[in-house]
Amino acid sequence: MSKTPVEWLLVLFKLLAASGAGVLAFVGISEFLGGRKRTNLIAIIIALVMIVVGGGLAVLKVGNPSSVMAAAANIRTGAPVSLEFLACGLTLVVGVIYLFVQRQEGPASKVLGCASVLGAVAVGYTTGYSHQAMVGTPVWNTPAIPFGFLFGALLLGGFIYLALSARDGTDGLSKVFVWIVAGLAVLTTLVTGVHGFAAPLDDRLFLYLALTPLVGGVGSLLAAVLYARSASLVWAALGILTAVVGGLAFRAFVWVIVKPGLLSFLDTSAYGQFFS
Amino acid sequence: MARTLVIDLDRCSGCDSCVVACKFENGVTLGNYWNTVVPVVPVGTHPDIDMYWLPLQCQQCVNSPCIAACPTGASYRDQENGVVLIDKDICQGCKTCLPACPYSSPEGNVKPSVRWYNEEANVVEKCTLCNHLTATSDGVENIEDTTDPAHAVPPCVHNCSCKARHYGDLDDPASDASQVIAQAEKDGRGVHLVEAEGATPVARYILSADIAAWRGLGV
Repeated sequence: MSKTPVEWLLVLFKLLAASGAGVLAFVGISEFLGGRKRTNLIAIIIALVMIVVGGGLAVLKVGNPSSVMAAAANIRTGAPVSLEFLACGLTLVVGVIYLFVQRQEGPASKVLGCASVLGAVAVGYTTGYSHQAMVGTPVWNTPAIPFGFLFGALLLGGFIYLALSARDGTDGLSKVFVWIVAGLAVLTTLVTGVHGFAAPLDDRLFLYLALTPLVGGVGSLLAAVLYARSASLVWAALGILTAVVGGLAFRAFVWVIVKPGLLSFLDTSAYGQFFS
Repeated sequence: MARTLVIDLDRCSGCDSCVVACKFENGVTLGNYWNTVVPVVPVGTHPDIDMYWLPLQCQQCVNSPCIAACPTGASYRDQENGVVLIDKDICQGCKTCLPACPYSSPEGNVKPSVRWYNEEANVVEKCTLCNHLTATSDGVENIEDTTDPAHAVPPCVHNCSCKARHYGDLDDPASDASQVIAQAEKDGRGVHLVEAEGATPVARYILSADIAAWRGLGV
């Protein structure tokens, strides 16, 4: 099986930027589920920092800003990587505007809240879609990757928001909020679990399963349930830890398990059929 | 336009002349390759054994997943003659095209691969069908003047010691490539594509069933 070194800069970019957008999404959700304005302000700042730092890591990966400008000039072609950058850029713009209007009561903050949710979905999905679209790498050509990236990023964003809420006080924050995070943990478990069993993983299958669906999924679900029982910073921190471990592992394993090699195309045929 | 190579595997001896010619013409540095010759390993039991050599280079895919994946537009198709190329001035060495290409190793540094990552120049390289020589050629070599741009062929074709390689536009019935395919079909020899998931290759390979059974890149 051919393997390629893990592109850690891209792994970190995809986790940071998408999870930052995930934080922004939960600020948006809080517009409807009773989050505090002070919590939201800090959450938006954290989200913007995560997106900017993540973007910076992507720039480091491509080497220089002129290459980024070349990529920006090529956005019209709709290349998967271009879509990823576009989603990050637009979500960053939404986040900056949101920063200034979030204190207002009224439709503007709610509209930006909805835009934040859409932006987070776009960033989370496209960071995985840029792998899925690589048709020459059969084990990437599965919707499990973009959905795994999306659910995992929203999950981490949710826990970061819950941590801020625990610190500021969760009065008025609907329990539904926590159950959304728990639901994302269930989805993350399912998608990453299916991916682990369906992909032609080698002897590192158990490491993948331990870190990704187990710690990242089930561990996060446990943290969410504990938070639902007692809105403590400890449980939110546990959730952040599990979501980070799972998120990093899932994104890193995407690079480790690339394809079975040019001489073994048939090895992945069953995998492709599984999702078709 | 469907410019490509047509390679007669009945004639290929696996001598690597094409690889050497390519490296000379294009200044391909040590350790990098724009084309390779894959030994499709022997199968069967003595004395009924068959194998063949498979020269592999960019397959000039119709759908070109490398172009679709390239974030900077460095991978493109020449509008004049349809050849898939890489603009090295724009390529940023991100290697996104490597996992996109069904015929390349993920890092572009392990055979067999049709794309190679030139670490020193930080660009990805691949076969251009020597477009700098052949862009306006009709694909029928003028043996009296091999530099004649109207009839130039890639050096891998000119230098093929077994005359196994042919170049031309498959949409032009008069091209050498089209003529060779037509003759092979008339003779009942197999004309094959190297199939791969996500690929729509244009390059053709001729292999007679009595020489070996077609197995693409191998089992």
